[in-house]
Amino acid sequence: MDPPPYESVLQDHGTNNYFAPVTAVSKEFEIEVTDPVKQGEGVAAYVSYKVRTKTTHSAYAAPFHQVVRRFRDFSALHDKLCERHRGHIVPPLPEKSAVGKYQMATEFIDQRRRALQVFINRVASHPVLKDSRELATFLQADEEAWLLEAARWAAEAAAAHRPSVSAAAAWFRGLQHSAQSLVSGRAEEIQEDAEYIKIRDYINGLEGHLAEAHRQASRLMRKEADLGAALSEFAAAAEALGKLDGEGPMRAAFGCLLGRAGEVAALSRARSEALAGEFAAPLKEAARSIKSVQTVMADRAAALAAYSQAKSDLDSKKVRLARLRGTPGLKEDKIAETERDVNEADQRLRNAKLGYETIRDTMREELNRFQKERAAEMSALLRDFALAQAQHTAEQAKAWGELLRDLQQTNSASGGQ
Amino acid sequence: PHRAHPARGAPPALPPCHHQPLISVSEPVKREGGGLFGIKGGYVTYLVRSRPRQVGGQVGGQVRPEVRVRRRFREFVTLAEILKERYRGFFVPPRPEKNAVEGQRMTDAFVEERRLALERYLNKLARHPVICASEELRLFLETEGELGDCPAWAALRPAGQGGAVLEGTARLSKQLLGLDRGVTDPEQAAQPTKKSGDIMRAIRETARSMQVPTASLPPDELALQRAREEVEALQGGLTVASRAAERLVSRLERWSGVQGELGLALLRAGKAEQAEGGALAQHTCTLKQSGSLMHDLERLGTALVRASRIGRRVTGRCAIELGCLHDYLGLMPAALKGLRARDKALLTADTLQADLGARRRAIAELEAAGARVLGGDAAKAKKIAELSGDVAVLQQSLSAATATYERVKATNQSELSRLRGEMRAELGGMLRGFAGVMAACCQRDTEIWLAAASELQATPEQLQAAKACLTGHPPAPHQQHQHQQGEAAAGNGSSSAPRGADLPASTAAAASSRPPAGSAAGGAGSGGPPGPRPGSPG
Repeated sequence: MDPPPYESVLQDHGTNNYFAPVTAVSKEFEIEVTDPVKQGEGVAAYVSYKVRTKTTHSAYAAPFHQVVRRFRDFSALHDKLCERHRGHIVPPLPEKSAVGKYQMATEFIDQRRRALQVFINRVASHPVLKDSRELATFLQADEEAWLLEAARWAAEAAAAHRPSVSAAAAWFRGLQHSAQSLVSGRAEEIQEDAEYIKIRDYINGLEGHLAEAHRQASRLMRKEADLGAALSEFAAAAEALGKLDGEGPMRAAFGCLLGRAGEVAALSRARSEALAGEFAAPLKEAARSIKSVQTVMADRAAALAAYSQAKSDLDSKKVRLARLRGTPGLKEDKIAETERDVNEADQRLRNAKLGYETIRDTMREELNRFQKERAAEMSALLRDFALAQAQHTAEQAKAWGELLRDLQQTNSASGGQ
Repeated sequence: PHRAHPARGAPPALPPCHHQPLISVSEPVKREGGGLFGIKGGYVTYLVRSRPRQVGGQVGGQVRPEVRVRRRFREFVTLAEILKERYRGFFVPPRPEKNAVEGQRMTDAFVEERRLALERYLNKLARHPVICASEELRLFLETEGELGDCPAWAALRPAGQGGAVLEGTARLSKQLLGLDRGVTDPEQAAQPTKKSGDIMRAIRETARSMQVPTASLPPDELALQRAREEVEALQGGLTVASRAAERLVSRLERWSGVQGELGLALLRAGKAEQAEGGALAQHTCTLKQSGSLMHDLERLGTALVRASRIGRRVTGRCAIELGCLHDYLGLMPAALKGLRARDKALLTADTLQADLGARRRAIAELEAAGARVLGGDAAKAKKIAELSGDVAVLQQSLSAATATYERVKATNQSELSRLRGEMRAELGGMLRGFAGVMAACCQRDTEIWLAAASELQATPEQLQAAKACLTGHPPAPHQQHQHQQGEAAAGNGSSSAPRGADLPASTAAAASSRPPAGSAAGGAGSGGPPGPRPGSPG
């Protein structure tokens, strides 16, 4: 299904312009993350947020909910969703910045708040994740119930023998596995689709591009602010200079400059701040969501490795069984044991194959959704940037034009040439 | 940023900056020469080209064919010294620095710096109404071959520089021995005191300057002393403003640069989408979206790169416009020096006055005293005769010194009013130029962004909202924008909006100082630049 036309996708949450797309036809969830409050003291200090939900989802007890959560809780939700819904692209969390947290700067907290709001709304608009129990608990459970649930999740995660999901580890295992098959003379390996490999490489490259775009966007923000400051400084210096002219025309002219330059500088400051939230932050989030895709890709690689491993395991066990059977005069129970081994290995292979294929099929759906959302969002982001820049430069052009007019009037009033 | 020079390879459509170089310094050629004690003797000659105006002509008067001469730095220094000697009280623009680190003196970079500095120096001289018509400058610019060989030039040079110290000490000894009367003669009185040349006079003047003035000063002298304080304040103000201007230009440059870099990052992302995004697009049946994303990235990336290029040109223009702050700052020491020349001339006259008074009193005392005191009538008469001789010389010297003082004072007054007038005009022009350039830049940027937004599927309502503040914009400054952006577009080489009709109208418009003429500019304004745009949103 095609995503709906973009205008319906833009949603203004509370007081900010940071959009979160809703791909479902109806707006099932509207979630706000607000009221950051600093709690605790010193090293143990943290920030708590109010999470207000307005929902029409059938599984929810009431249309309105309000809970208090901290970053750690969001993180727990994220990790659990990754664990429980492998193959699904879980929206990314903002960074777990250690330094910024301790500094607790208002700007940092506000950025984080906005990013968390985007995160939770994306989860709530994900076709699969929105129905998850984890989300329901997160949005509804009171403090005690939540603490219990979070503890249970942590215990489950620790207990689950989860293979390492880091891409490096998966690759290493793949290497081991190839070495093994070389030694055992088996050339059979379960390969990835060639098409998928191209996709994987593309996604990996994409992260770099988005990160670079974000970096430049941040720099643009800073340079815009710097420019405004330099302009103010210059206007102030010029005004001081103008005052030295006594009652002469320079004083009036430089006075005009001060006024208008102040306007332009204020515009630059405002634009710089707007750029932070409207352009830089979404780019950063886009880069982060690529990472989410990479997480899923790593899961898939791990599943593939497990599948491949299980297959070669089964093959080698079958070989052993065949050899045993061919050897005369061997004890029956030895053969039986080996037969059991083979059956177990076969079962493991079936599980591993199922695991891999599940992820693979889920990924197809997910990549489809991801790509459509991403393309639409990115295009909108670029367009809005152009529009906002147009407005900004138009306002500046107006201010400069008015300054020029004022200066011309001052000049002609004093009988200039 | 002050290196930017208007004449170098600028597109012809660029409107004239208010400095038009009349003199050019170019083609540095290194020459070998004798050296002393291992110091390299090489030097550089520069080609100085100028178009001499008719004698007493104004700027842009009838021009004669171009004159070309070769000069070395030493000769510039001599020119500066001559001007210093002969143009007391004038605010003579300072020459480029002499000091050069020995190892750097012949490097290309240094030679280029010096060449630029010399060119700006000569042009500053040419802009001074008195100096540009002077014989000294004319000889410098037009004498073929070595200046040292030219007798007229030699006649101008301040005499006896080498022997000054010896002469001074000899003179002092004579004075102490009573062989020299130690009275300043009229010719010397008209000249500034050379400490090395006439030590006694220097000492007397210093002593005099430390005394409390007995007579009150006339109001015009007081006014000029106040003027010195004003000039000092102006110097301070210009220093701060010039520095702030430099910082502004630097920030402008950096801001333009980042836009370009962001644009390139987006372009690269777009290329990656094109080269490698196909696989994912096929896999997820999102070929259309992938295609439009690629297109969008390329569009915005291009727009950013274009905006960055505009920004670079604007930075250059701003550097030129605001550069006049730096120029005036450079003139301040010259102004202070000119004012000090008057102080010195006044001191000379004042000291002579005191001297005269002292001798007259001595004569009176002698005449009143009896002959017995001094060893006889003859001795007394001789002494009185000597003193009377001194008095006569001093009277003449005093008038010479006073005449010098009055002349320098008048020069100071005219120079001050010229400086004030020129500064007001130029700084006013600078501001208008700066505002005009910034307005044109923002206007052009707006066009770029609106075009990009439209190509990125912005709706007409959105486009309208973005440029809302510009509609109903008064036409006159708009005319300036058209003028400026006409040159920006011409220089940029790509004008996306049809501007044909606008350009002739705007080039007919005068430079930015014309007061706004409401109805006249009606033709140029069509309710906002994107009006005639053939854009088709979506």
